[in-house]
Order: sequence, then C-alpha cells, then structure tokens
Amino acid sequence: MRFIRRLVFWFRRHREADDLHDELEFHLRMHEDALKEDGVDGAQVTARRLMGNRVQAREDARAVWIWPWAEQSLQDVFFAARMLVRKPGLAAAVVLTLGLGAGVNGVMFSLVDFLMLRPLDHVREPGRLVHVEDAINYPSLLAMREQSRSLDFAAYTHRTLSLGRGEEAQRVSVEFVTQNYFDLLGAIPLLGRWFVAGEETPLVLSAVAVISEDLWRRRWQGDPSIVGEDVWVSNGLYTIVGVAPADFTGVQVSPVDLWLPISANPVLTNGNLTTASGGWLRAFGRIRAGFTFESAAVESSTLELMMAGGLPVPPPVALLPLNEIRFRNSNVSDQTIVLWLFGAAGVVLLGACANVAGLLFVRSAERKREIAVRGQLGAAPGRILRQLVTECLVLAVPVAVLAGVVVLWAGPLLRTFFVPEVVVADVLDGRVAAITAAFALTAITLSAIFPVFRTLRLVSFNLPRAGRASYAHSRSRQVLLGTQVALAVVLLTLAGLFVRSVERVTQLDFGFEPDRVLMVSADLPRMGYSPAETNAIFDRLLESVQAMPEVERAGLNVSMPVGGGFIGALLPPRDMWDILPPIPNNMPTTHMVTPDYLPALGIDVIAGRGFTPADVDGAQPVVIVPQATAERYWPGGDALGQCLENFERECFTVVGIVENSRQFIDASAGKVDDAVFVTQAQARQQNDFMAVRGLFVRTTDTDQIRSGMVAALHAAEPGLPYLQVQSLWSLLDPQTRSWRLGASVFSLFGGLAVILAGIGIYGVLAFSVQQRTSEIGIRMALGAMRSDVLRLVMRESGLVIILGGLAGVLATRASTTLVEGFLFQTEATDAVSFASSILIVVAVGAVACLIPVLRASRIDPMVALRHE
Amino acid sequence: MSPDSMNLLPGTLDLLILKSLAMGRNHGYGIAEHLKAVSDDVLQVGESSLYPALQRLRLNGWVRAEWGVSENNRRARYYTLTRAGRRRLQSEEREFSQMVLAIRKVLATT
Repeated sequence: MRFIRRLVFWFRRHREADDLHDELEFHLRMHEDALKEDGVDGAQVTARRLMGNRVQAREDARAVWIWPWAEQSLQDVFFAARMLVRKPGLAAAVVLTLGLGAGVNGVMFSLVDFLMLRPLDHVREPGRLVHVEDAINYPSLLAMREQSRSLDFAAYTHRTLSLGRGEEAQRVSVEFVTQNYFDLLGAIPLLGRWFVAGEETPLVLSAVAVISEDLWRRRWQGDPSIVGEDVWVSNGLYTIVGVAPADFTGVQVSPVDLWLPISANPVLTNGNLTTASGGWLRAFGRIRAGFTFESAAVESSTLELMMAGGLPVPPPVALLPLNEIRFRNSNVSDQTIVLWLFGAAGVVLLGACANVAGLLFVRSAERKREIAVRGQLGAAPGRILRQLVTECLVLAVPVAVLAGVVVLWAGPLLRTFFVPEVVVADVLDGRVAAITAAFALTAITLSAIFPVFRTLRLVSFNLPRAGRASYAHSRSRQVLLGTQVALAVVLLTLAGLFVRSVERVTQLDFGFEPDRVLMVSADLPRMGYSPAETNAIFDRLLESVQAMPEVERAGLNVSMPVGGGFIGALLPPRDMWDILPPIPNNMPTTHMVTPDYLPALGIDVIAGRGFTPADVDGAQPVVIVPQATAERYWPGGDALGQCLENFERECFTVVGIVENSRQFIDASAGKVDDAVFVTQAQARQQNDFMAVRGLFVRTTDTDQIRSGMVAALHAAEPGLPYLQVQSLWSLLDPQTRSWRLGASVFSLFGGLAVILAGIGIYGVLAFSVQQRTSEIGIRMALGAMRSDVLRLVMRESGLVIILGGLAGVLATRASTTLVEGFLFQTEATDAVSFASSILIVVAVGAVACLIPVLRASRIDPMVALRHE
Repeated sequence: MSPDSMNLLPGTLDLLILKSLAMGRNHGYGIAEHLKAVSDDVLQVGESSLYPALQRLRLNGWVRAEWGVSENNRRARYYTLTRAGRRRLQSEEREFSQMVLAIRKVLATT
C-alpha cells in the first residue's frame, strides 16, 4: 500500500509540491493574522522570521515520499544519458570497444566452460567420481570390483554403428556400458528403465538398448510408446528399454545416441566378455561413503588386474579425477590452444580498457570546468563521484548488450570449429550471460577508475584555466597507444601468416581433384558381412551408379585415398634389395582399385597407360606407379616395363606412371603418397580377405546428385545398413582445420586490435589538438602556414604509430618461432604478412588522424586566441 | 530559543497530531495552535517538523488530506483521521502510557 501511495505521489509530484507550498503559505498568513491581532508591528516580517526555513520544511515533507537518494540517482542517470547523447561519438567508441572486447571474452569463456568447467549433466556428486587411467579388460573389471572396498566400478567403450536398415539407416554413436553404469552416475531415466542385473553378463542374451533423448526426438518424434520397440543396431535386433534424459552424455562431453550392454560389443566373440584381451574398456568408479580420493587412490594402487587367460598382472591402478578425462574421446583439437586463445582474448580486452581509459582521460580534461563549477557551487565530492560512477554504469548497459550479441553471433561459429561433433544448443545460457556481463562491468570499471579519480581531484582546486595540457599524462597515454599499435601489428601479422597458410592449402595440388567427387562408404565387415559379400555388394552398387546420367566416372578402392593402402602386397624390385631391403618401410603401399578409379579421382596418367577393362585375372598382371615411386625404384631410368613382385614372385609390370598424390597435408611441405595401383581383378586372387572400403564417384554436380544417389544405391541393394555419402573434401577438411582456426581467430583478434588502436589514436590526437588550439592560433597569427600546423600535429601521432609498429614487428619476429610449426608452406618471416599488417595499421592510423588534423588546419587564429 | 527546541520522545509528535485530529478535521496551523493551547504553551511544534510528520502520516494512510476553506475564508488543507489512523491512535496511546508508567517507576526508585 505504501508503495502504491508513493507511486501515486510520484506521478502527481508537481501538484503535491504546489500543495505543500500553498499549505505553508496559508500557515504563514494565519501566523501574520494572529500577530496583527496581538498588535505586533511589522507582523509580516516577524511572522517570516518566526517561521524559520520554509524551503527546508517543504523539502523534508517531500523527502518523506521520495527517497532523496533514489531521486538523485534517477537524476544522475538522466544526466548521464544526456551527456552521452551529446557526445555520441565518445559513447559509441566506448560501447564498441568494450562491447567487442567483453564479447570476445564471453565467447572464449563459453568454450572453456563447455569444455572444462561445466559439471556433467545428470551426474550426482561428480566430485566423488574417479576415472581409471589405463584401459582395462573385463576380467580386470571383475577383479577390481571384487577387491576394492573404497570404490564401485563401472566401465564403458565407444563405437560408431549403423542404426536401422535401408534408406532409414543412420550412423549413431554407441556406448557399450556395464549394467551399473547409469546408476553409478546417478542419472534418472526420462522414460522406461536402465539396464538391470543380468544384462551385462554374457550368459543372458542382452538384446536391450537405451536411447538418447535427442535420438528419440529426431528419429521417433518423441513417441512416448517407444519403450518396448525393437530396433536394428548394426546386424542385431535390440529392444528399447529406456530413454536417457536430455543432454546426458555419460562421463564424456561428446554426445552418445545409444547405449548397449557391453556384451553386445562386436569386438567380442558371441558376447563372451572374457574373450577380448587388451584394454578395450574404460572404467570409472564412485568413491564409497567414508573414503576420500586419496584413500581410494592408495587402495587402488594395490589392486590386481587380470589378463584374459586368468593370470593376475600387477600394474597399479592409477586414478584420475573425472574432470581430467572429460573430453579425451572427443576431437577437441587442444585444450591448451583454447586456453591460449582465452588468454589472447583477455589481452585484447585489457587493450580495450587502456584505450577507453585514454578516451575518458580526454573527456575528464574537457570537463574540468564543468566539474570545478559544480564543486564551487557546493556539490560535495561524494555527490560528484556518484554522478561520475552513474555515468559509467549507464555505459555498462549497452556494453553488456553488445557483448551478448557478440557471444550469440560468434559463439556457435567458434564452437563448430573446436567441437564440431557436438550439436550446439544455446551458447548464451545463464552462466555465460552472467560472466559476459561481469566482463563488461569489470572492463568499464577498469577503464573508468583512474579518469574518475583524476576528475574528482579537480573539485578541490580552483577554477582551472582552460587549455593547460598536462604533458606527463599525454606522454603516458602515448606509451599506452604505442603498445596498442604494437599489439595490433603482432596479431595482424599472425593472422596474415595463417591466412597465407590457408591460401596455400586450398591452392595445393593434391595430385587428384577432390572437387565434385562423392565417396560412398559402408563399414560392412564390421556389421558381419564377409569380404566376398562386401565386394559383391559394392560391385552391384558400382553398376547402379554408373547407370546414372550425372555420373562421369566411378571406381572402387579397398583403401581410403588419402594416406591409406596395403603394405606388403607388392615388394620393391629385387635388384634394389641391397639398397632398399623389403622391410615395411620400403614396401610400396598398394591401392586395389577398379579401372575407372584413377579417372574418377582425377589422377592423371603422365606416361604409359591407365587401366583398361582388359586388365583382369588371367591377363598379364599390371601395376601403375606414381612418379615418386618410379623415381625411387628406378632412379633416372625408365620405369615402364619394369617389375614389382608379389610374394609368389609373380611379376606386375609397370604399364603407367601417374602424378604424385599428396598423402597428408602437413606442415613439412606435404608428404607424397607413394602408393601404387593394381586392379582388384588381378589382386583379389591373392587378397580375398580384403573388402572394398569405398565407392568413388566423379559427378557433374555433387550437391544435386547426392540424395538421388542414396535412393539409387538403396534401390540396388535393399536392406543395407547405413551408407555414408560424403564429398571427398570432407575427408580432407579436418586436416586443414588448424590453419582455418588460426586464420579466423587471429583475424578476428587482429581486426579488433587494429580498430581499438585506431580509436585510441583518434582520441589522443583529437584531445591534443583541442588542448593546443590557442598555441596553434598563436603560431598561425605569427605566420605559420597550414602545412606547418599539419606537420606539427602529424608529428606526434606519426611517431607513436612508427615506434609502435616497429616494436610490433620486433615482437612478432620474436613470437613467430612459436607458431612456425603451425604454418603451412609459409615462412615465419613472410614479407607479405608483415607488410600488409603494417600497411593496415598505418592506414587505420591515418584515417584516425584525419578528423583531428582537419580540425587543426581549420583553426581560425582569431577564434583560437579568444579561446582562453 | 527556536520553537522546535522542546524535545519530544521519538514518535510522540505523530501521536499528538493523531490525537488532536481525533476531535475532528483540522489544518496544519490549527493542529499546531491546538497543541500549543492544550499544553499551556509548552508544546510549540514548528512547521519544519509538523509538515513532514503530516506527510508521514499520509504515507502510512493514517490521515487523509483535502483542500477546504478556513474559518477566515482562506484556502486551507484539512487533515482527517482515517479508520486505520484511529486504530493506530489507540495502540499508540496504549504504548505511550505504558512507557510513561515505566519511566515513572524508574524515576521513583531513588
């Protein structure tokens, strides 16, 4: 009620003020009347004197309703907003600078938080979970469970399998888990149940599955009656018994679609858990009540593990806190890179703060007069301080908003770079938003604290004479500015080096043409198909694809094109064995292909011929070698017509030489793939155990044909598990990721740094021109030309840019040795990168100088002299 | 000596105003005069405490203010006790007499 009355009062505060005034006036008149009646002389004056301070009474009465501090704060806010609107350039510069700086840090925090800090979803007391460092086998797990008093153990292992049959089939990430896995984590199923006792051991056929919430929504549209349904996983039929809660990923960060009992793992023979030796399980434990991590670790070091045959092995079981293994299984490029970039983002933010501090110093100098007047009119230092702080806080709001926008926009982008396998939910959740806002507030506090106190000192001084520049301050600002210029040069040059690397990578001649090539793969042997069955299926798929009009050429290979191949199918030429003994290192890797494989991949024949349909079993065995191999085995000579032999000493005649293919896109100028090619028709005779891995199709237009091709493939071979159809580029992309990452992140930071430096140069120069207005006026009155004035002004900022740039170049030279290893065919001293970064910095600096310099040159001596 | 120099126990002014309004509506000047007359010139309430106190009572909803015409035909703001104000007066009176009693007892022990 009181609040509502206050509100009502607020809305009619002007009328209420009038009422109070009238009321007191009435009081005064009554007083006068009373005095007159008593016959007092000069009743009017006496009454006024007796009544005391009516203004005070009115103010006090008003203060009952409106808290003075609230009112003053509101006044401060309005005043601050008015000041900002009057200086939109300054406000925009501060908001942009700090907003971008805080935003970048928010983005990096969201990444670090996601990867390292956030507690696992749906896990009870994650602090009491420990991970076993080494991989173990099942007998060891049983032994550990039996011996340990301090820990309960569960185990899991990962695999990608095919879910469903035919065109419906998809690839899913499967986790094979022990029966107690979910309960040990403390998760609660969304629907149905977890696994129960007996569903882990091989004695019972445990054909049960738990699906993720995400898979449930995507594949079954959240059908509530899903529990009890049967699904094909790989070549087995499983009954769904439960649905995991949303975002449950077990102990790792990477998402899981499906959980199966460990006995379903295809590495086991007939689900017999004791057959697989070696470490195929990852184990974790929950510390029982009454034990600590230390006591559990001590006890674990005494546990005995078991070999598959039942023999105990003594290595101590080492425990790790769960957090340390969280993203070991995900393809996170590098934890340290993320932290390093976070640090770089922090440096950018500090630079931004320094910059804004510079701007605010300028502003405080501009406001000397205003603040001093306020002080002399009686404003207490506390009151002025409050007003200045309010001005900063008012700025903090748009800064935080802009930072939030940056996080929303750049967060998903960056995350797809670092953890592409993780579906991006919302990047800007409560935690990230709070931290981003905190970054914004900290940034503005850091920027404003020194300028505010400097301003405050003025209050106690006498009215200052305008135009007395304090040189010491401008000197420190210039040092600050030079540092920023240097920082911008460093970041831009690093960005340049990475951009050049990306350029080189994309221009790289792979020795084949990855454009417009689709790759069809299906891991059939893993799903229980024999090599012969697999090869027959791929032969039929090849036929169906070749019938399509959009397909130019298509071929099969038992290996992957980049870095694959079989070692030992063919031996080096016999007369070379003295120099190149037939050890694996010296043997060529062999790709077994169909005749059209080479044209399908775009591998050109340089000499001799390619394969023909006549190169079949029974005809003369032939091999086609790349230039590098020809050069290696028959240096200087003619390789055509020479022999490579298999173990039966059968001669494969070299009939063609093709261009070199690149095996890896690595920093060492690209290692060349020395793989040789033979036809499957001629190789299968000895290699019946080899199954086709992929069908490679050169098409007229990759994107158009893809879905049509999937349909055609499934029509040709109904009931197949998941077929993966992807472009050849997607096979190469992960290898180029680190360069693209470096290029984009450093470009972003470098761009930010150079913009900040530009704003800083502008601010300082504009200030200096303003401070020296009268000096310039005198010079011009004494006959200085406009060009002299320009030189005077330019000299100051020019020196900052040149010295800063120089320092930047030196710093970059020192730091490039650190990144040298990350670059691709790009020298760390790459002149183009250095030159362009300096050019950018100088150009931005020049633009920043433009307005202040123009202002200086337009100074009218008469006006300037009166300025003081 | 200023008219405000009479020290009142905290909160007593509110009680006195409420009490004087219990007899009927009055304006600020009238309240001050009434208190002065009833107390034989001992309680002289100055405007700088009277008017804030009246606003405080309004804020709490114990009195209502409306403009009217005074006995000598001037526009004056009249204050009326609300029902909540009446209840408040009773409880404050009770508390005050308890307090006075307590103080008497303390003073009696010498």
